[in-house]
Amino acid sequence: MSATTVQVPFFSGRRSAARERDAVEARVRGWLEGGEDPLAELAARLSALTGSRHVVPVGSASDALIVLLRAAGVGPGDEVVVPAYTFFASASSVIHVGAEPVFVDVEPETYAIDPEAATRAFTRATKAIMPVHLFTQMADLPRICAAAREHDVLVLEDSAEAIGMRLGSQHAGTFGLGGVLSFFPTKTLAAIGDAGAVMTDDDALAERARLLASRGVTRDGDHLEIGYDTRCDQLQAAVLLCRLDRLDADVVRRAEIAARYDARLGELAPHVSVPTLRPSDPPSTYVYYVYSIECDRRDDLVAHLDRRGVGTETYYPWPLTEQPCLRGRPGIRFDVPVAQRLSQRAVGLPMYPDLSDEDVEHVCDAIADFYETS
Amino acid sequence: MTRYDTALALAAIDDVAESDEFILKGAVARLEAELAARSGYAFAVAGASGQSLLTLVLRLLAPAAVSAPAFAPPEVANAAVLSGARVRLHDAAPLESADVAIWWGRGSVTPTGETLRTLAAGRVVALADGFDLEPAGHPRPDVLVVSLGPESVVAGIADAAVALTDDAELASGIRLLRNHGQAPATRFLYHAIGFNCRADEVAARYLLGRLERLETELRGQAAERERAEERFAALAGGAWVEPPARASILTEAIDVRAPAPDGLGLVRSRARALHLEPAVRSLGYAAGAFPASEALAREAFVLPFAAEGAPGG
Repeated sequence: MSATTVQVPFFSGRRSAARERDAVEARVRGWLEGGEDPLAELAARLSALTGSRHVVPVGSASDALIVLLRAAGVGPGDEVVVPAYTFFASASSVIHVGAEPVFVDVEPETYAIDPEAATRAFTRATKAIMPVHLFTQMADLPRICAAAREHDVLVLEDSAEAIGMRLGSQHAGTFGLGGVLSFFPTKTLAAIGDAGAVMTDDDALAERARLLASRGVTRDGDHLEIGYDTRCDQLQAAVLLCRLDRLDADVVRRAEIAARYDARLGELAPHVSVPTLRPSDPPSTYVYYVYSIECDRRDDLVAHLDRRGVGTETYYPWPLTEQPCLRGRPGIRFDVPVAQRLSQRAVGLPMYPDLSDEDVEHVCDAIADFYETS
Repeated sequence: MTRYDTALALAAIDDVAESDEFILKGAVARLEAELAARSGYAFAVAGASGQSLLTLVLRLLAPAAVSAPAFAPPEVANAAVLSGARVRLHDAAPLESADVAIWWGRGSVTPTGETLRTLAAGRVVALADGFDLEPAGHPRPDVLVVSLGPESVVAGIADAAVALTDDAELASGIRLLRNHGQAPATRFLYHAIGFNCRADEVAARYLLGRLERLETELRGQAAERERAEERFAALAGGAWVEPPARASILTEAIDVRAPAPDGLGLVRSRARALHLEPAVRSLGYAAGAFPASEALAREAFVLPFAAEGAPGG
């Protein structure tokens, strides 16, 4: 096969799915024919994995953020400090509960919210800060939590991408009042459709989150609150249970792929910058959900890779402060130069356990060719 | 009551795993085309659930006031309140005038022509568990949101729904809002503050399989309904069965109204009328405000059945 015919999609889970087919079938039959409840087991296993006292499966991580914010009491008149460089739901969820997202810049190493910038953004209206653990590593939670405590601000973690990430032994999403998980099909722990979860150690918050996610209706049928219809599908839970069995191995494989990328692409400096992992005390557990490089002539490189059969994803082409539907909002008060630079230079490369070493080499060859020949 | 088809579910999972396409892809598009054709509406937009789609529709219509029936499921109240409009409840009849009137039906599935005429001068948005298989020539709501979840007529494997409409602009707006407000052709560019209300490919593939058997189920269901109506008509105490408007309408349940149904061990339709639920107490309605709805809540209940030909039937 010639190099030009190799196809490396941005994501594929086909090989893993084929390997786990029998396990998925057994799980689905257990649910449909045996009356087993995959949702309860999923919640219990995620609770054990993350150390979160409660895990409430819901329809998506975006919905989980809305439910978490409302369950935490965030509402009209409140401000929530969020990073300017992240997925849109980190801001839209705040708006959906009637509060105002206040956008601050991110750190150049971790791409996570800058604790100093966040602290400067605190006002008397600030109800919460929502750090996002993006791509590979966690935000600087010790500093964020300390600042939040000092200013009486809630920490609600957008840990949608952070399954498996830890600081010391503590899992992402468990540092503040609550966090969320995403099981979007390309995630480290992936469903085959939308699914997510709310995490919290707080009994009352968990109970309210369950209520809000179930249309505001109790098991007895009482309609107590205006709620959302965002139940996690049992079918998705059945699939997730199978994939939990291979999560550790998947995380290891992702790290191997990242090491291979690091070794090859590190040679292309200064055109290409590979991810920087910030050391921490206690040590962090990093999880490569996305392998994001910063590079010169990003859009030209993306087009070149496309011609070479390599899929990419530009996370994120615009800072949230430049989204058309957010322009002019009162929460856009601060300059966000790092977020702007990343939106022009960052791109995600293929990163999934099914990726072979040859696939990785093909991606790296294609990137090297681009900078050597242009 | 849920009726699952294991073989269909496993085939849907296999197909999705093999395709590497998970959300809002080809199967969802095929499902939408199929539902548009079967319902007679020009546009079908699939989403995550009936309440979610109803919320999107109301956000797009942006009524100052929305009128909703006091005898309706929580989804109606939730969507109405979440739309941001002023919510007014009404009794079984007559319906108040409002920019948008929500109609909710079970046995009737879609409002009759007479009901539509009594609705508001504005738009009529209906939430139903099924749809009319022979819609030609019959009046219908401006938007019909049909649940496709496990307990619906076209019983899915997971929560799902479809919004049916002839309004191209509205359909386009729903498509935008269901996927976060993201521009159709540009990843991560957001023109509206939308939601994640997307339909999954696996749910769509399962539903496409179910739709292939719809006519068979309809025939079985018609016979089943006839038998049930005869039996309940013979009950002492004034039992009443909701008559379907037409035989072409597929429903997943038989609505029965009878005094003191609690002892029968059947499913209550609504424990309370909406205005008596704590969630909507802020609307300010007191007990007795909607006597017909309160009576329905006391007396109506649902007898589920799976017709011959349906999984579990």
